[in-house]
Formats: sequence, structure tokens, C-alpha cells
Amino acid sequence: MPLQPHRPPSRSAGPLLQLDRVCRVYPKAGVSAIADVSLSVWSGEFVAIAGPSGSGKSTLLHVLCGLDRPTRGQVLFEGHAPSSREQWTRLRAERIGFVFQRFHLLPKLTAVENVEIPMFGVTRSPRMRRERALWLLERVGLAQHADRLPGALSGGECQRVAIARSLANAPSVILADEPTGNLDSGASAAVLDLLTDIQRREGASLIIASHDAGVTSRADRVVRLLDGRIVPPALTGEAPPVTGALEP
Amino acid sequence: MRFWTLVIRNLARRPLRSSLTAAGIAVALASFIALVGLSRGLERAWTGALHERDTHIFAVRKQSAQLLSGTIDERVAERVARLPGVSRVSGELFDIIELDTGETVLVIGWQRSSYLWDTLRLISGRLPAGEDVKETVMGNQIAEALNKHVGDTVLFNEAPFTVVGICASAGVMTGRAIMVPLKSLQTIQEKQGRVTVLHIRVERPDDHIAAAAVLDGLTRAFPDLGFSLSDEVADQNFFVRTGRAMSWGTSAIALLMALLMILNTLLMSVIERRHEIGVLTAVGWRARRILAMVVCEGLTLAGAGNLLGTGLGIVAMRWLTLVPQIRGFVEPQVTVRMVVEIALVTLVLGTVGSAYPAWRAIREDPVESLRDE
Repeated sequence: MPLQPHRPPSRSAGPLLQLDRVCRVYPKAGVSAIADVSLSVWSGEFVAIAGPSGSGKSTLLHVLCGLDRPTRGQVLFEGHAPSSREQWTRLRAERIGFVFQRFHLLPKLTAVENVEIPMFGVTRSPRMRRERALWLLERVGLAQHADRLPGALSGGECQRVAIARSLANAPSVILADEPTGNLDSGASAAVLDLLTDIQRREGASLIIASHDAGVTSRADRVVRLLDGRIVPPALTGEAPPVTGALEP
Repeated sequence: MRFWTLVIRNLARRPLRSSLTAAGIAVALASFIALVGLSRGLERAWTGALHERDTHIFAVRKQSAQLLSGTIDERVAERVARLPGVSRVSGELFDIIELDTGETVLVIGWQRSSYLWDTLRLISGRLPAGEDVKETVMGNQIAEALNKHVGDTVLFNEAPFTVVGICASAGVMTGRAIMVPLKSLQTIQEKQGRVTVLHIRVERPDDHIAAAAVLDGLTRAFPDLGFSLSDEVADQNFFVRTGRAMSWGTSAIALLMALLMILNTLLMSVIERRHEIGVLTAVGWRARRILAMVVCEGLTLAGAGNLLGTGLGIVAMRWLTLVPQIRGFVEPQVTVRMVVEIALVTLVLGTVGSAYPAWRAIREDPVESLRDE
């Protein structure tokens, strides 16, 4: 039950996700979480968003998947700007997978039921949902724990269930917000191996927000954020991105 | 996993709270069933008795708040009988009395010559022998309850009456009534020459236009009397109308409380699950699916209350009809109409009670909800 055929990073069809001069201001707190950020992510690409705590990494991911709306600028998915909350919800259901630092599994549902959750409204048959969820758990090495509640799993296992959940509807892009932030070094390496393996095998784009050097060292490209703004590659000493018309 | 599995699982996470809410709904629905059932039972008893006597038009003293206190001169019956279109007329004096056994019964007095005696189906004995004799025909239900047989004596208003006949009736108004000659009842009630109501038969009862014309003629000829067709008599009866208003009023309060219970339970549940609802939004659940989930939780609670409440309501209704002051005047039964009404009430309770919590759930900011762990 493969998700998608393997696709190398492709730049022929245009960016999968684009941020065009995006700002997100929280007026009540008087905080500008991200400011004037432009970024392009291509199909099959692994991008690491690096930066210290409070630099705007999480906000950037939330804006990229429509969980948060920009105060200014626009977000394009495959060249189109979703105009409503409903359109973003549909994209998150069908095209975008999300992995959270704190897993965010539903505590009263078993591992396999948690993986089934995103498939409601996409896969009609309960039997097919169950089969696919079990296959995904097997894929992340947790088939034997399918009927366990999250409370009975370790942090690393919970994160693997969350990764399986993010893959439920064969997304085109997986966003991961500090996926190793709550894990010990052994579990962190395993989760990172799993994510990069999936990215390579399934051809999905992978965007990880992290300040973990293990993440940035494996990424195709690293985007550094500081105080909500992208730090130009020249200032970080890293190689510039291969392309990206909207990037600074 | 099915959608409904999730709904049930959400309710089952707080089993005590969900059970208490369902129990509250059940009590409200049981009150509705029992009270409205009794009110309808009263209506059914009245109309059933009139059909049993083949009465087409029923006459009472006008502007009398209580049926029993209004009396009519018994000679009016003869004048009514002379009107065109009227076939037969009979006066009837009745009262509700408490027997020495503590049983509340309806005592009915008819002139011995009245055709209404012929509507009784005697299963033993005979009809009273004369106009002023202390003899009675008992309905089978009250005779059975008091263990009275032909030849026994029954005492009311300290006057002994000999049971000379037992009549069978499926309706409570006759089955639990005591029929006596009019004059003897007038004597012990000190209402000489008076009757409470008039039973009127028309010549062509199936011709609604002709029946309406007779009704119109009666109304004009006797302005101090109120006439109503037997099918409509329940609507115009003081007891029935009061009973109906009280039962619907009490039921409405009970149902409102049930609605608030559902609302409170689901609102607390939604607030407690704010984070989880944020997760559902984050993984692509559309607003209408989350809305459906909360509404289905409300409907499940109301449905559970319905099952429990229907059983409880039927038991309560049966129990209420055993109360001496009530039995004999109502014929309670759960009808198809009532089942449909209860289903609709359940649907409204579940949907309206969950509407606001569901709306609260979908308007949450998912990013804020995810932080609220």
C-alpha cells in the first residue's frame, strides 16, 4: 500500500508551497511572529526551518498549512491561494500532513484509531480505513502496539503514531514542528530516520522546524529564522538555495 | 472505527455525567408521557362514553366553569325534543362521590324511561324497576374492584342502594360508574327537577350539514345552554381543558430542564475537549463533521433518555391511574401519535441542546486550542 511513487525534488512544475511576503502579527500581544517572509518549497524537497526558540518557526508552519492566517501577504499551494478556512481544511485532510512536537494524539483512542482519524471524510469504508491505518503503523514499526492507548506508549512511539497519522491520506507535504523536541537522543534519531526515509521513498516534501543539528544536517536546504525574519544565506555561511523566485 | 464509535467513546469518557444527563432527560420525557397521557386519557374517556351512548350533541349550562355545578331544568329536555331534526333527548344528573370504601366513582342518574338505559350491556341482573327506587346498575370494573354482585348493597351519601345489575363496558366512564334512577339521585343530592347535562340524538347523524343545522337551531332556541357535537365535547370540557393545560405546562418545564441539562453537559464536554477538537481541525476534519459529532452526542444522550423515559413514563402513567381520585376518569394508553411526538421531542431536545456547544466547538481557533493541552 505505497503512498506515492518515489519522486526526486522537482522544479519543473513550480513550487508546491509558497509564502509571499507573509507577516503574522498578534495585535493583542503586540508581537510580530513572522515578518515579510517569502519562501518556496518544491515537491519532494526536504527543508529544515532552523532558529532559536521564539524565532517564529511554529508560526511559519501554522501559516504554511492554513492553521493560522497571515496578517499580510499570501500563501500559495500549487500556485493557488486557498481563500477560506474550509479550503485549507480540505488541503490538510488530503494534501498536507502535520507532525507536532507534543504528538497531539487523542488520549481515548488507540494507536490505530488515532491513525484512522484523518481518513474520515476521505476514505468512506471503515474497513479500508482500518487496513490502511494498520499498514501505516506497520510502516512505522508499531504494528504490535496498534491497540494500545497513547498513555501506554513511550514518547518515541507516540511520535511514530503521529507520523503514521500524518501519512494517513498520502500527503504531498509533511510539516513537522520540532518532532524530536520531546524525545531522547535515541528516539530522536529513530524518528528523524523515519521521516527522511518516508520523504525519500514516497517523494513527499518534508518541512521540519527544529533547532536540532541532526535535522539541519540532513536537509536539502536550511532556512534560518531570527526574530520572525529569514536570515539571508550569506550571513549564515551556508550555500544559497538552488532556486526560488520569491525568496530573498 | 466508525463515526458513531467516536461519538459513543466521547460520551463514555465521563460515564457518570452522561448517565445522569440521560436520566434527567428520561425523567422529563416520562413526565411528558405520564401527564400528557393522562390528559389525553381524560379526553378519550369523555368522548368514549358519549359514543357508547350514541350521543350526537351534548348540552350543558352555559358559562358554568365547572360542569358539575351547572344544572338544567329537566323539563327543558321535552322542549329540546320538539325541535326539528332532533330524534331523542335525555337528561342526565351526575356527580363524583366517594364511597364508604374510599373509592371515587361517578354516579349517573337517568329517568327510568330514558333510552340511555338501553345503551348499557347487562352481563347480569336487570335494570332498576322504577323511577324512585334505591336500585343501581354497576359498571363491571367498579363492581369487580368493590367485589359487588347482584343482590349486594352499596352505600353512598349514607343511602343504601341495592345492586340489581352489572353492565360491561370497555370504557372507564361506564365501566367504573354507578347508574341509578334519576329521581332517587335527585333526592339524595337534593337536586329535585334538575339535570346536569342533556344527551341529544339527531335524526341524520351522518349528514354533517344537517347535524350542524340542528346545532345552530339549538343554540338559537336555548341561548342559556351550551351545545357541542360529541366529537368536540372534550375540547370544550372544563376538566379536559384544565387537565390539558396543566399537563402541557408541567411537561414544558420538565422538557426545558432536560434541554438545559443536555446543553450544560455538552458545553462542558466541548470545553474540556478543546484541545482534541483543535487536533481534529489540524488533521483536516471539516467544521461540519465536528458539528455533526457534537450534535450526534446530543442526539445519543436524548435517545438514551428516550428509551429509559418511555418505559418510565408508561409505568408512571399506569401508577397514576391507580390513584383512587384519578382512576375511573381516564383511559391512558400510549398511542402511535404519542410515540411520534416523543420521537420529535427527543430529536428537538438533542439537536437544540447540542447546537450551541457544537457552534462553540467549530469557532475555536485551532492554534489556540492546540496550545490548550
